[in-house]
Amino acid sequence: MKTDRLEQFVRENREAFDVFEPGENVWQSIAKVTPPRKYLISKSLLLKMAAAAAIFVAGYLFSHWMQTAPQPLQNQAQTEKTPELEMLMEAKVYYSALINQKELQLYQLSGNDPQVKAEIEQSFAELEQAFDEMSVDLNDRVASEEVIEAMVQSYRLKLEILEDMLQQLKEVNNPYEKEVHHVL
Amino acid sequence: METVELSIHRDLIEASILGSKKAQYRLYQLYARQMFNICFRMMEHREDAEDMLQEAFAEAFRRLSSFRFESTFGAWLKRIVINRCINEHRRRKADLHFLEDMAPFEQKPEEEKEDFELTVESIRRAMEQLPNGSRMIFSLYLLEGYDHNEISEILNISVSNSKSQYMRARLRVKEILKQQVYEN
Repeated sequence: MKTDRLEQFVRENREAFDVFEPGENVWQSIAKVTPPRKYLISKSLLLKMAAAAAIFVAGYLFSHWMQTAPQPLQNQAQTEKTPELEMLMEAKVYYSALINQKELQLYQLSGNDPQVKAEIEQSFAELEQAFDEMSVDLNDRVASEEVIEAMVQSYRLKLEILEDMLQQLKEVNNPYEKEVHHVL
Repeated sequence: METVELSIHRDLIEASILGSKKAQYRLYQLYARQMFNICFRMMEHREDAEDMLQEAFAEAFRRLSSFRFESTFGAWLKRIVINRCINEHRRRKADLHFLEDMAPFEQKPEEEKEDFELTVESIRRAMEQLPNGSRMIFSLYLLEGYDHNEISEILNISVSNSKSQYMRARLRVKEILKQQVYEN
């Protein structure tokens, strides 16, 4: 079939036909009517939380086994105050201060938005439930290295969740930064 | 055969679904010019075209979670833009006007008259002289790449009507281009 000269020219120069630019006010109008963002936890963090939960379960099973299995007296005495337990105490002080600081920063940046507070509490609830179970095991003097490591990990995750939300909030406040930082 | 990457800009789209203003702004930057020119060709006036662009992007961001990557984001967005423009014409009860029967003109072989120079600007100006319905069909077929079945659905006309109107519009554009040569 013979190609039409006009059709061929238009197809070969398609992009050149888009000569007009929309006014700068158009984006502002779109941004105004677009629904506000939800401070959702990113996929990577959700995966880490799932992994942490799995470690908690494994730690719990291990500590439960330690509690019920016959132990030599010498080993039981060693669990009273281990270097790991001391590390946990230090980590608790260190991370609690950082977490409090980030939470405060988030509230200030959001103008004390109650939605932000609710989402932090919701994000932390699951982690804290598992954390409390681990604390019971520690009080029972059946702490294992795995349990303590999992508890330290939960502090780190809390901090990461807060940093993620902080980043999202900064992005909302200034969407025109050139740096592209995706939450996914 | 040209392969089309359906998941193009997937990161930006997924971040936009989460409500990231930065990702939404980036998507806007990528597609605004192309979509605005579609609006301009369909609405004729800058203000109307900007209104349609704004409404189309706002609708796209609201409905983004329903986007399944079964087409490119650009094709999905383009359909929203075109439907918005058509609906606005219907809302205003503005009739679409088409070229009348050009039988005497059509009887002449096209090749005889194709001694004019083709430029983007001259074709664009010739398109502006088409009745609004004919211009839409010409644009949808030749610039936006829709086939006559799709155009018949978009404009709610028969396939044969779409085909004949496209042929008339193409002949009319050539006629105008020829007149421009004589005038110069």
